[in-house]
Amino acid sequence: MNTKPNASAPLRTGILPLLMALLSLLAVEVAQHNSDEPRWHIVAKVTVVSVLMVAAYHLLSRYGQRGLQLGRAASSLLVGFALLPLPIEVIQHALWGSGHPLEVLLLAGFRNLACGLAVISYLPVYNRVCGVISLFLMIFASCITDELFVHVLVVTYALFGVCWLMGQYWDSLRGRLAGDSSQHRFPRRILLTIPILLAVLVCLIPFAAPRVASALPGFMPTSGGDQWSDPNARSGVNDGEGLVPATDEARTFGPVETDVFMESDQPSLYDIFNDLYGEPPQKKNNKQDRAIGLPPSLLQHTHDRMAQQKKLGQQFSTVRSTRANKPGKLRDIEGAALLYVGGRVPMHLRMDTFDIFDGVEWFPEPPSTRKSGLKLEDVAGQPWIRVDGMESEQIFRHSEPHQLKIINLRTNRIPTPLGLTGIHIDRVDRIDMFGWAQDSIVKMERDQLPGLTVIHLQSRTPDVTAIKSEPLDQLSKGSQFQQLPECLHKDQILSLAKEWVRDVPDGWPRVQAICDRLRTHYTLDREYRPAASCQDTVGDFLFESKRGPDYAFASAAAVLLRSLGYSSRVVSGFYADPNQFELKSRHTPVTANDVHFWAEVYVGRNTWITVEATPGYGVLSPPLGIWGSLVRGLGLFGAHLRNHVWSYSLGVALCLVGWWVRVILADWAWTVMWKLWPATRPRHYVLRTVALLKQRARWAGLGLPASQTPSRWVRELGSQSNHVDPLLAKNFSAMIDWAAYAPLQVDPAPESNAAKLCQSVIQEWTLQRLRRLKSSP
Amino acid sequence: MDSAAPAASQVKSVTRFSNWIVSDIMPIASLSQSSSRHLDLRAIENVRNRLNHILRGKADVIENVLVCLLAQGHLLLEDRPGLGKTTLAKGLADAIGGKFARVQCTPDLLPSDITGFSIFNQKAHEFEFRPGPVFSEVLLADEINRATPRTQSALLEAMAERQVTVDSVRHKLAGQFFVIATQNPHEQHGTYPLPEAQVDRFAMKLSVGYPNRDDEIEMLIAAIDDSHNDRSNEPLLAPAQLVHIQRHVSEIPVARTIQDYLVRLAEASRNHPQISLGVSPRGLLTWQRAAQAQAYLHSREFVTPDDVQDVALPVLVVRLGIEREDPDSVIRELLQSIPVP
Repeated sequence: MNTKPNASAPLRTGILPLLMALLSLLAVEVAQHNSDEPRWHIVAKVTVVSVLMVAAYHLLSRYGQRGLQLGRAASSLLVGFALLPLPIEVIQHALWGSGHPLEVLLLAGFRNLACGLAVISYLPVYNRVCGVISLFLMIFASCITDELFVHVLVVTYALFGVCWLMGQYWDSLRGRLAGDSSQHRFPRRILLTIPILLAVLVCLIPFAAPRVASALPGFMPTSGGDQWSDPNARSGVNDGEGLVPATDEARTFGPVETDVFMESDQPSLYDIFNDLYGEPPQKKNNKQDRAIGLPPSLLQHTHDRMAQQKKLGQQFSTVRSTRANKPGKLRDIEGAALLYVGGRVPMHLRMDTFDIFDGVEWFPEPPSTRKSGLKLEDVAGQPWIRVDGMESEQIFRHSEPHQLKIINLRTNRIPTPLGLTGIHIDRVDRIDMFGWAQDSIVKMERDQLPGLTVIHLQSRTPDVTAIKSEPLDQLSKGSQFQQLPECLHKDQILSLAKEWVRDVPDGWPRVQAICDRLRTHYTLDREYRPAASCQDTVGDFLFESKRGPDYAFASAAAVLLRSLGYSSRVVSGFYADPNQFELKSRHTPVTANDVHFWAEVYVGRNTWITVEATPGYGVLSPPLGIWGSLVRGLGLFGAHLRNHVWSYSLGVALCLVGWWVRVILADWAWTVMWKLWPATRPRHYVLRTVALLKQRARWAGLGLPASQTPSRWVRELGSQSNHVDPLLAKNFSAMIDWAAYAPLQVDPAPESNAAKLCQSVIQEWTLQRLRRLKSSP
Repeated sequence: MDSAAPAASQVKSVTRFSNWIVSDIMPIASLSQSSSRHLDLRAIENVRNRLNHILRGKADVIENVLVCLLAQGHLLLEDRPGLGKTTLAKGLADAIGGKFARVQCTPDLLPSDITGFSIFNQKAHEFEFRPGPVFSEVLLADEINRATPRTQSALLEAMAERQVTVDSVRHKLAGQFFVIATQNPHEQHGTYPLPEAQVDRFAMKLSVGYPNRDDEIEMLIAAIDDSHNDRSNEPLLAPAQLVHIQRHVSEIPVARTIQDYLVRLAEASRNHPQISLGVSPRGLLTWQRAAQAQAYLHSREFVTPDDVQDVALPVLVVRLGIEREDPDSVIRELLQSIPVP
């Protein structure tokens, strides 16, 4: 058994396993961390143990170099150290009655073993065992916790581990090679890749972490709740059906399908709308009373005048007062999720559709009279409500699942996307529990959706490429969807719309042009409110203020499209924002602030398409696939570069300059370090000077062969070149010999002499001079 | 003035006394280790100068001869005739103040011609021992490869054991017994090459080589000048002083890292594909001692890897079984294959 210290490679044989052991120790402590215990306990514990370990390593390796033999004592101590948790457990149990599970004791034993091995890892045989044990600990720790910090530690550990393995392999190679060993020096600059890679990873996280992470389930089996079944996943199902609904164990999420029918009597959804946008001002002429009296069936066919359908509390006025920060109940729930969305986002969850606009208020479509369109099906033993949305299958082609996890939503309407094809709530196998609220809005036949319910949705995502070439202006869904308010700016709006779509072909491109224009030339301002007396909010938005909240954008888009002859409507609901995606729960929370308005345009074949005119909001596209994702990613990256071209140019220029003068900068930094923190003892002072000089020579291209001593190299420098003072070289050479090889009792050089000589050497043998030396014949 | 004169003379006499104490008595009374070492080094320097005067232009050879002498090893000189091997041996014997003996090895040379023999003394009616040439301080065994293996063995045993046994009586050799053996590598007829196991008894093998042009001219000029005035052959080192220096050399500390370096070099020599016989433990001890001597000659009280490397070539070339015509390059490769500590 080789127990001799490998003095030639102290870095990779000792320090790396020590660092790896410390990382695994930290990971184990974090993984075992009890939530009742303050975090600083871990920091304090690991810091103390780390300091002790480093000190012990330093002392033992130092005395090991001087002949201290550990022999069998080391193995015995290590075994005892590893078994130490067992007697401690017995004593603890006897005295205090508390204890730990067996696996925790096992982990503690391995942890002790890793610490002990790390302390004597300067010996090659223990070095390798230490690497293996720390790897085991790291794997164990990463398996028993999902702490993000542990994942960071795992990545860091992997980087160190790769370097350590390279070092081991290099050692084994070096032992077999003969010849000029100066060519076989371990490439230590590899170690520089660790901080660089870490920095790159850290820089990438804010840009892409949620999206990258959300893309991973397609390639890597994981656990956590996206309905992507994979037989290789842990627990048998990737984010499986058993785990996500938490029927087996309630650990992933709150809404469980075991508590589907919670009865409650909660207020209406529209409390939320008023909270976000403020309440509409009291009107001078109270038309609500009259409107209530009008049944929708009477108004649907009055084409020659503006149809109105009013229902108390259902219409939405685009003239609203400024939102007040009201204390109390609503303030308390601010920020809490109303529901969570599982699956791809962004997602427009429709709650109400509005067809008639009087210039100020949008009136909802009449309640649906549909009796059909819902059908109960049994899919793999689960009851699914099949929804016949009647949308064109040519446009709605890509079917995909989503989950809604209802937390605090007080309505009986189910927030659903366009192209809905199926609804599933666990154990709800009665078709009469569901009905139509509006023609495309499904509701539950009860007062409100049950809280903490998981609603599985199956829907198809529209692909607008299928409709791009078709003209839309001749397609009419109904007059109420093309009706324009009799407002002051009607003609101006029409001419504005025509101006925006000039030279744009009919059909979807015009819709896109209107949408793009609004998104780019108008400003989203949630706090802006038109005057209470305003009778044409769209005109005010388009021509006066050019800013407003999302309903102003939606209203403007709908009105502009109607002016061009397209059927459009405004939809209210929720917007599942991809920026809110939570990596840990792999869900997107939808809060009261995510209440949103958007427009929809009719494209024929009984199909409506979302038109998102509000800046900062997006529409879910069909899955792109690997190539599409790559192209899109590159496009986004290119756009990002274009937007920050000066910043990046400056950064690249700085990097190039830095790279160009990297050696000078490194030499300067090292020299400053050498000057600011001089060694206290002459021997160390000389050795540090030699290290700096060797590095300078390496930078200058005068590599020191591994088989040559620094003292001889210095002597040869002095004798070969006129750039180097021979006497200085000779004296410094003797000083190096003394510092490196003389016993402690042999002629200690006077401290002042050593310091003076070293300073002369560093001043005389600058990097520039050594470079000239290299270039001189 | 009258009173001042005695005072001044008193001061002068006190000063003179103190100077005498400081300059003469104190060094003798408290002859420190450093001053002794200084004297030893000066003596060695004198030996070096004389040998350089005798053998011009061969400072490196002379340096290695001194290393071999201080390391208590024996020297094998392998070169053509007439290059100054005998002159060097004689000059060294003169310088270290010992008895010089020379044996011209021939095939009919008997072991007893080297070790000595017992002869019956008719007067005393007993056998008395007549010591051979090994009972000298410096023995020059000229053309050792012409002696028979039996005779070679007798000499090599004397070199290793520093004693000879004749008629079951053990006779110890001089403490600073130093053998300089020569052999001509170019004449193979009628020679008995030294076996590798016995060559290991030599500490070093050196090749004197031809001097360069300038040195040869200087040599010719000096030969005319020196013919008129005989050069002094006075010893420069007392026998006891040489023993003292050799003991001091053997006590020079060697750091653990240097010893580890030596062992790694030895292991590399044993695993080298072009070396059939690596460094033996005895060779390793010799190498360490030679490195100590090299450190001493550089006025250092510790050994550096440079010392190990400096003496590597003469130490290894005599004992490594190198299967290439150019052993020096193999040894250089060997040194380059192991990083210095």
